[in-house]
Parts: sequence; C-alpha cells; structure tokens
Amino acid sequence: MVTGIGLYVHVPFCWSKCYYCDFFSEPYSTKAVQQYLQALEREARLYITSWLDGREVGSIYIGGGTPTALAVEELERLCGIIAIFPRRADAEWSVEANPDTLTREKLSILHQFGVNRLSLGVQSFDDNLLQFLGRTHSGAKAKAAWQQGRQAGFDNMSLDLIYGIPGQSKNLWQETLSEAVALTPNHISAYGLTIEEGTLFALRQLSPCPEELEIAQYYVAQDILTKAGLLQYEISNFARQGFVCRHNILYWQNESYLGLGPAAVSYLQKERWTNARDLTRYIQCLERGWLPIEERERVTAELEQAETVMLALRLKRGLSRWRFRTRFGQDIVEAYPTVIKRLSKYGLIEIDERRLRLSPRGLLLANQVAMSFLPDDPS
Amino acid sequence: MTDTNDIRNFCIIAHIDHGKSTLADRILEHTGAFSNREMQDQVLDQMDLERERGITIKLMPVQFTYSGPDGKKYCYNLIDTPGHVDFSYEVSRSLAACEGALLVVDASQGIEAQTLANAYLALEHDLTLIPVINKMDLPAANPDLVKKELVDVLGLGPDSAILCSAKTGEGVPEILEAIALRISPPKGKKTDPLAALIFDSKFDLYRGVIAYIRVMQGSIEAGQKIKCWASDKEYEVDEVGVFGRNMVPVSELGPGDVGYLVAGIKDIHDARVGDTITDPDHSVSKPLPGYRHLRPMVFCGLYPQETNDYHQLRESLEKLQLNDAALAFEPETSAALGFGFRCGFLGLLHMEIVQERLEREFGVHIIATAPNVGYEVTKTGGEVLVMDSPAKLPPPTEIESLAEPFVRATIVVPDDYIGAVMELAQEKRGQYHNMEYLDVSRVLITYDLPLSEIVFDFFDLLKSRTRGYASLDYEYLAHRPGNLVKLDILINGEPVDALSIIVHRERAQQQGRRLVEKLRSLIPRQLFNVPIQAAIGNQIIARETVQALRKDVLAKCYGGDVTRKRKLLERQKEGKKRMKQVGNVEIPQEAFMAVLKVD
Repeated sequence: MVTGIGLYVHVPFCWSKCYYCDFFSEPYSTKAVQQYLQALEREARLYITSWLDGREVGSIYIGGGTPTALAVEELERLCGIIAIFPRRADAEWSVEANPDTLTREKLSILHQFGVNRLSLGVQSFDDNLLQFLGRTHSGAKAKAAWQQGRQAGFDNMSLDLIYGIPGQSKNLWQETLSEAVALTPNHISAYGLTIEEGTLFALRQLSPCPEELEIAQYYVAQDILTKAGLLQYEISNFARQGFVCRHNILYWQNESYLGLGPAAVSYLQKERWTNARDLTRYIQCLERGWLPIEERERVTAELEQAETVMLALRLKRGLSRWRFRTRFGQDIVEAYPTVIKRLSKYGLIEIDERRLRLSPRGLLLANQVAMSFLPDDPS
Repeated sequence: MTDTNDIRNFCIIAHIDHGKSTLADRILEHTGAFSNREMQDQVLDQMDLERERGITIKLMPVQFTYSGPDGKKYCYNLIDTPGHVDFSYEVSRSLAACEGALLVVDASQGIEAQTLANAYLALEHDLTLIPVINKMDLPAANPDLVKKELVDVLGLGPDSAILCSAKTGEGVPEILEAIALRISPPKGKKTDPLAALIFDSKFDLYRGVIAYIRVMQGSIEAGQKIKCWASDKEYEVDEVGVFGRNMVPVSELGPGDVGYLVAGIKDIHDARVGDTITDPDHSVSKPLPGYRHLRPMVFCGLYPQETNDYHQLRESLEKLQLNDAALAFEPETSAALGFGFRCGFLGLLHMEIVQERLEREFGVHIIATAPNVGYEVTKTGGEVLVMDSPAKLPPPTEIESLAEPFVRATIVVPDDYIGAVMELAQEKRGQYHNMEYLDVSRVLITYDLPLSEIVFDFFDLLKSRTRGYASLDYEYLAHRPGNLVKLDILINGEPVDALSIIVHRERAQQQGRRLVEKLRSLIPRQLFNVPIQAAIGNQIIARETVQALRKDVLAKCYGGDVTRKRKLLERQKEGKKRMKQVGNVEIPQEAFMAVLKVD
C-alpha cells in the first residue's frame, strides 16, 4: 500500500488498573520495564532484518497499558527502538498518555523523537465518576495535563471520554462534553462503557446503564461535538477536518500492520498473529531469539472480505465500492445480494454508486449488520 | 437347572434416593457376584443417563449364588425396578416375576409417597415384603419412628425390619439370609403347560428381540416352539439363558427361573412387557394376569432444528422405539416448525429421557414443544376422538365436550404443610379424596388432579411450597369432562400452532397473560417491534410487545480486536441460527417450552 504499513507497540505497564479495562497490562516495575525494553528491541530488530522487506511505516501507535507510565529514560529508550523502523516523512506517530503520569520532560522527549499526535486518556472530568472508573487522577489534573501537552508543542491532540457509566446522568455527560470541547481538541474518542469479561466491573457484576440513557448520551455527543466542529467519522470517533487518526483508519480499511510487545496483534497478507499475552513468556521467547508469537490465524479470502466489510462499516463514510471491487474482484452487491437487500429493507444501511454505509440507525446496530456479512459456517 | 426350592426371586423397591441402587451394589459385592474390579457404583444401571441422574429407568436382572451360614446354596435372581411413577407398569410386571421384595426406607426420611405406592403394588401381587431401614449411618437416622410407620401404615410386623447401611455394608448379611428364610420359593410345576411372563425386552441388532422372562410353570428350551399371547405370533426358540454379568446360555429354563429368550422376534412390539409366552401345542388356557397395553399419557411435538435433519430424526426415533415399546410417534406438520413428529410418552421423565437420548446418542438437534396430555373430544355428532395435540382440536362449534385425564395423586408431607398442599391442590383444580396420618407428624393426602396440572408445574410448586418435604406419586384414574378451551398464541400477528395450549376456561385469562409475558422475556429483540398476543378463538385476551432492538454495537474495534470481536459476532450469529424463524421473527427454542416455565 502506498501509505505504508502500520506499527503498533504495546507498552504493558500501568501504575494502577482501571476497573473497566481489559487490555493486557501489569503493574509498573523498573526491573520488568528493563527486561521488556530489551525484548522489544530484539523483536523490532528481528522484524526489521527478516520481515520488513523494504516496507515503510506509515503510522505508529504506541498504546497500552500506559506508555507514559515509563520513566523518562525508559521512554527515551522506547522511542529510540521505534525510531529504528524506516518510516515515511509524513508518518503519523501517536502515543497514548495518562494525565497522572505525564510530565514536561516526558512530553519533550516524545516531541523530540517525532511523536506528532498525543491521545490523552481523560475519560471524564467528574471526580466521582473518575473514582468510580478506578482512575487515579482528577478532572483538574486532566485539564492541566492537556495544557502541558499543548505547551510541549503537540498541535494534534485527542482525548478519550466514556459515557454510559452507571450513575452518569445525561446532564453530567453534557457537561463533560462541554469541558472537553472547551479544550479545543483536534480529535475525541467517545466510548460507550462496555463491561468486558475479566474486568473488575464484570467481577462485581455491575449493572449497565439503561439502554435508553446510553442512546440519549450517544446522540448528545453527536450533537455537541458536531456543533463544535468535531465531525463523527467512526462509531466512537470524532475529529476536526484533517485530524482523523490515520493509524486507526488503517485498521478500519483492513490494511496491514505489525504489532510489537506482549499481546500485540499483527496482520499481513492473509495472516494474523498474536504475541504472548504474558510478559514472562514474551521476554523468554525473545531472549532465545524467537518471535514471541503464540497464535496464528489464516484469514481466508471469504473471511478477509467479511472482515473488510465489518471494519469499513464502522466508518461513517462506509465502504468504498471501488476499493472493494479492486481488492476482491467483484462488487459488494454481487457478493452479498440478499444481505444487502434485507439490511436496506430494515433501514440499517444505505448504498449509492460509490459507497455502502450504515444509516444513522444502523450505526447503533452495527453488530447486527456486521454479523450478516460473516460466513455462515465459521471454521 | 436349580431345584425350584432353592430359587429366590426378589426385587428392591424404594422411594427415589432412599438407596435402592446402592443396596443392590452392596448385595452383589457381598455375594461375590461381581469381582471388585467389575464393581462400579450402580452396576445395574447401565445407561449413562441413569448414572448421571442417579435413577433407574430400565430393568436389568442379575442371577447370583448365595451360600447360607449352614453352607446351603441358593440361586438368587434380583430384578431391579425403575423408581419413577412414569414406569409403574414396568414395576408391576417386575413384581409379578418375584415372590418377594426388599422394601427400602431411608432411616432419616421415613415412608414417602413412592414407598407406599410400591409397597401396595407388591402386596397386591402377594409378595413377601422384607422391610429394610437403610442409611443407618446417618446421624439423623430414626429407625424406631420408621418401624412404627411400617407397622401403622403397612401393617408389617414390628420385628420384621432389618437395619442396614448400604454405604457401610451393615445389615447386608442379615438381608441376604432373610431372603432365603422369608421369601418362599417359586411354586409352578414343570409338568404343567408353559407360562412365562415377559417383564422386559430389549432389541439386539443381531439377534432380534431378547425377551426377559420369568417362567411361572412348565419349561422352555432351545428348539421349542412358543407363542406370544397378545400378538398371537409363533416362534422357534434359538436360545435361552440366565443373567450373570452377561447373558449366559443354558439348556433349559424351568419353573421359577428368571432368564432370557431369543427366538428371532423382529419387532419389540410383538413381545411386549407383561405378555405371556406359552407353548402353542400345549397352551395354557388363559394368559398370566395383569397384561396391559401401555398407552402414552404425555405428548409433545419433536422437530428437527434444521429442516434437513428430518430423516435423521425419524431414523433416531425408530431406533429408540426398537428398545422402547412405550414410545409412540407419528409425523406431524406445524405451520411454525415445519415437519416433525408428535410423540407419546408414559410421562414427563420418559419424555425427557427420549429427548436427551436423541440429542446425546443420535446427535439430532431438536426443538420440543411444551408437553400436553391426551384429551377426549366428543364432537357434536357424537363421535369421540382422542386428541394428542392442541393444534388438532376441532373448531369450538364442532365440540360437544372435552375430557381430560385425571390421576389420583398421593402426597406424603409433614402435617405443618397440610394447608399449603390443600391450597395448591385446590388451585390446580384438584378434588379432595382422603387424608390420613402416617405417624404423629406426617400425613398422607390423596387428591384427584388433572394430569395436565402435574405435567405443567404441580410437582415443582409442591416441592417449593413444602420446602422440599412433600413426595408425590400418582396413577391414572379416568378422563373427566371439563370446561376447557384452546388458547392460541400469535406472534407478529401470526398464530404459532406449536404454542397453542388447552386450558381451563376460568384460568385462560391469567395463563394467557403470563404466557405472553414469559414469551416477551424469551424472544430476543428483533429489528422491528414484535407483538405477542394470546387469543381464544378471535378474542385477544392478552398482549405484550417485544420492543425493536435499538443498540447493538461494539464501542471499540481496533487492530488488536478484529479476531476476538469477529468471533463474538460469529457466536451471536450462531445463536440466531439456532432459533426458529417463524414468519420474520426468530424464536428461540426455550420459547416453545415457555408454557411450562410460567410462574
């Protein structure tokens, strides 16, 4: 692809675990980070020497965990490892940051290495809700961290928010949105709270927010953010003109990416593979000079096609029929005639000569739509 | 052939969970009939299902030698009996094959409903009862109270009971000796014409029907001609034998012997349980008493989940029927569920077993409709129909009267719960019959109840309202006319025939309302509103709506999530596929059983 491949780096350390989070992470410790960074460097070099094969990186995303949980020197080393990948001059480089862990020094290191997009995990500005979520920072701290980011020179900054939290009223959510908008972010991700298996929320059997309220909050977000110039471009993502997250767009277009770090997933040429979801195993593999891959999945043509539709329909602009034809050799309407007819009848999708997309109602029923495109008998 | 005088034929009868199977195991262990290596708990219960549920469904006789303290050897035949009311006819046939029975009673529980039902049945057959008070190892054992109950209720001698713990083996030698001393040997003469009772039969793929028989008089050997009385068919005997660990061929079975017979009988329906085998050339003048042609009491529709599996379902039912003469089925077509079968069973347990075996042993995924009883419809022209499905009920204008089966229910309960039981029985349209004290604190209550109420939820409610103390047994009485109507269910405006039920008119409103509420909770939200209505004829009596699905979306789906999230959706799709599409609406399997789960 002309845009280059995506590079994801998983930093599996947090100072504390949020109650809703099911991403792989461990408590921060200097020793573990040292071993991790060493392993990460080996992994990076293995891929660069034997796999990269002239490909360039078009976008980088450092996520976690909490990348900024690392100390300054550790962060510096991390960036140094990533910087050895050949990357395009216009590459997007995002780093996830946590208000608690952010300092001027860390910000300046990131900026120096060429990180050009900062994604701040704000979640809410309401201290009670933050505490309920297991966040260890306050709303004020989040705002201060935001300003620090701007001062450090980041002119592309995003923040994450969560709605549908039990106890969060529509008004409270509205307030959070207004406070977020006041920071003039370039991008906002607004996620409906999902109670994921294995999280503390799931263990506590937290009863979810009433559906009606969550839907209302979703519409409020659409309304407020659109008015503020942040246009919805994906089910949970909003951006100003020119500030969509290119790395994530790459996922939704089902393009290739390499994932480094424990539990990271890579996808290239009909194959998807996943690294060990365990820090010790990840480190041990690399100490022996092996790739720490623990799962491989062949993505058949049929699956690739279904996944392409499933992912592209998350985008507001939907799926380009031309791209689909180029990639799979037939028009989407030929590939799924009855499905498209049925979904149109129920008003869940819209189709014109150029694109297939979810209707406004369909955006909230994306699973029902995506499911219809999946093969009947999964292997 | 053993001398008839040394034969003892007996069975073990008990209320469920009073330790019948464990005692059988201990007896076999004690006499060395099975080596330790071969001993498994409940050796007599062969089917996996029986082991899992801890119940006996099918009979499996066993023969073993007992040596008395004086060195005298006896030939014991132990005939195991099913411990569930569904199979009471089989129990009665097993009893008819014996001269005596061990009546096992839990020392901590005392006499329960099935203890009584089985004991009365044994006394009707003139069997010698040896009361065994089991579970003496339990701290709560109260043998004196149980003895008193045995005396007061069953009139058994106060010193006749043997105290035992099947768990520890205590009392087992005494039981074995009591069998020799108290149970009389069989009486029949070898010189009399042959009369053998079929008390069970099995189908073997290679040998045809294997009839389990008890020779009452005369003798039987290979090469001999025989006749099955009820089917009036003649066969030549290929083999006779006895039951050790396996079937052991012998040259001849004489009076009192328990064994098996193979005679090239191709169809199990030609050698039915309870039938008499005789010699066509020297026939007895009349068959052995008590033969009954079993008729199914409970019916349900069984449909393949996938239309393509129809033939597989038919074949599986046919195979089950080879071994189960009480299972009846005929093809049925439902507008909602497509092609399937209306099946008849002896009772609810029998139904559950068949459904489970279809799924487990034959791998057929089935949709079962809620069970119903068989109704007798008298049409305006005077014609009487037996109707096994609510969907088949003629229009109201053609019905003169509708009769439903009633049973006599025997309930044993601590007297604190008399009020609760009577209230429940009243609610369930029961007619009071009798009440008597078993001992100072427990009573025996008898009610005549519509069988449909028992099929519905009577037993569950009885258990919950008596905190599990009540035990229940019942037997069919007669069909009695009632004020019954058909309740139809409409989903998205379409009547779903498989959901129709027959209810008492006075309770139609209430049941209709509960049923639509239950269905609303069971039918998942679809992409549109789905009205659910209950109707009698054209009159809608209850309505609920399943609101259209509004939100079903993953908040996040990035590179690391694709496989996991896709699999999530695949599972969701699989779940939808398992539902039955009725019109535009996807209905989960549980919905067809909803009528049973209304609470």
